[in-house]
Amino acid sequence: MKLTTALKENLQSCHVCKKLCKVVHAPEKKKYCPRCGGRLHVRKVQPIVRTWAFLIAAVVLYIPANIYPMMTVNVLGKTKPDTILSGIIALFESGMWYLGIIVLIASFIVPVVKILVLGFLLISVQLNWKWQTRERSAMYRAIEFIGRWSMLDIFVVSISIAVVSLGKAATIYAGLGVRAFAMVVILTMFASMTFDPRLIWDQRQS
Amino acid sequence: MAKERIACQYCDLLVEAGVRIAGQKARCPRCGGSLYTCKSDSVNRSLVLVLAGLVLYIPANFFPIFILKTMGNIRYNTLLAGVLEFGNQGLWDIALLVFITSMVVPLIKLLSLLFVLISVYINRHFRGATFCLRWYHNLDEWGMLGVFMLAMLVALTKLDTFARVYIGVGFYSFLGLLLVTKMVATCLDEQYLWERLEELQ
Repeated sequence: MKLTTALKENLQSCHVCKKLCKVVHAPEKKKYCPRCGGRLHVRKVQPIVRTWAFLIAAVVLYIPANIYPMMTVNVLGKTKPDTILSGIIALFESGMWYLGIIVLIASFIVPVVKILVLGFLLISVQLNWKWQTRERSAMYRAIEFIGRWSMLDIFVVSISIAVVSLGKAATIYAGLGVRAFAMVVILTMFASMTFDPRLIWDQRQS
Repeated sequence: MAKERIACQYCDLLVEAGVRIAGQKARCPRCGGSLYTCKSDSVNRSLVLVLAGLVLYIPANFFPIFILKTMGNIRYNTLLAGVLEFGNQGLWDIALLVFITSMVVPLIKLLSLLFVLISVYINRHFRGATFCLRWYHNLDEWGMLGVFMLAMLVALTKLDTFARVYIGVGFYSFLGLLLVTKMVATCLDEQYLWERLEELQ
């Protein structure tokens, strides 16, 4: 079986409804899909530059996200600020290791793995690697949808602060770490959206 | 008749789309990415589930999730209360983010899908149906009901050390809403809806 790509046949697939459309070379005009009205691109717009930008911004914000507290618990005058990592350690120490594992995966392992994998894919595309295309393609599909699970810690803070504003007995304050961490999650989501996995295979064609 | 072709979204390979058989899932022969999945009876099933989701949406968002008792105080907690408390503490951007991902996007997704499904169900073209289906597709990643559900379980276990926590009606409705939206996602055949909308135009 002879393999051919849409690009070779001068076709492009709509990113939304997957309709195959002819590539029209008219640089001044914006092209829209005749079926769903979505913007048509042969490849995503400047995928390498944009993905790097989102990824580097995420790495920079990852530092304050881990330094500043996610939330400060105040029980009867005693205050206890918790960052992401100290919160996880506290869960393990208090015997709730099952929660500790869930939060460890969602808030620590997922964002770090996602950033590392996207960085690796970008470098491999920029170095014109031709090997392990199938595996790299699978790596992209694996990280495509896991990033959102990092929002877990932010939602936990959201539920906790609402429940425990009991006045003098106990209060929970959200910390600046929430803001930085939320940005990390959103930026890594944008990073995987702007990356184009077809670049991994394009090298093999030319 | 020329065979219809489809390009893999992950590697751009052109594949001949075979005959649609319900329940069949097509994968790209080169990269292994999913090409399309054919579902049986997708319009009827999705329509029923979307309506069920809309019914559950109201108690899930406005009824108490947890009821907390400490030192004689009783406190109710809803989804919206968490958003407002973030706002009170000065983190308006985070309040907005939680509001959008846990309340706005799930509602927009249900309503836009309802519009599209009704259009296909009664065989009539509605203006804006393609717009709705496009945004249903685009917003897919930003609806985070599943993540919020897990967060509720984590928060519930954590708060149990502070005070006596009771589970409210909102919690069960939210669980129902989550299950229904997951079922919509498994019953829905987006590719089929696009083809039907194209025919109706």
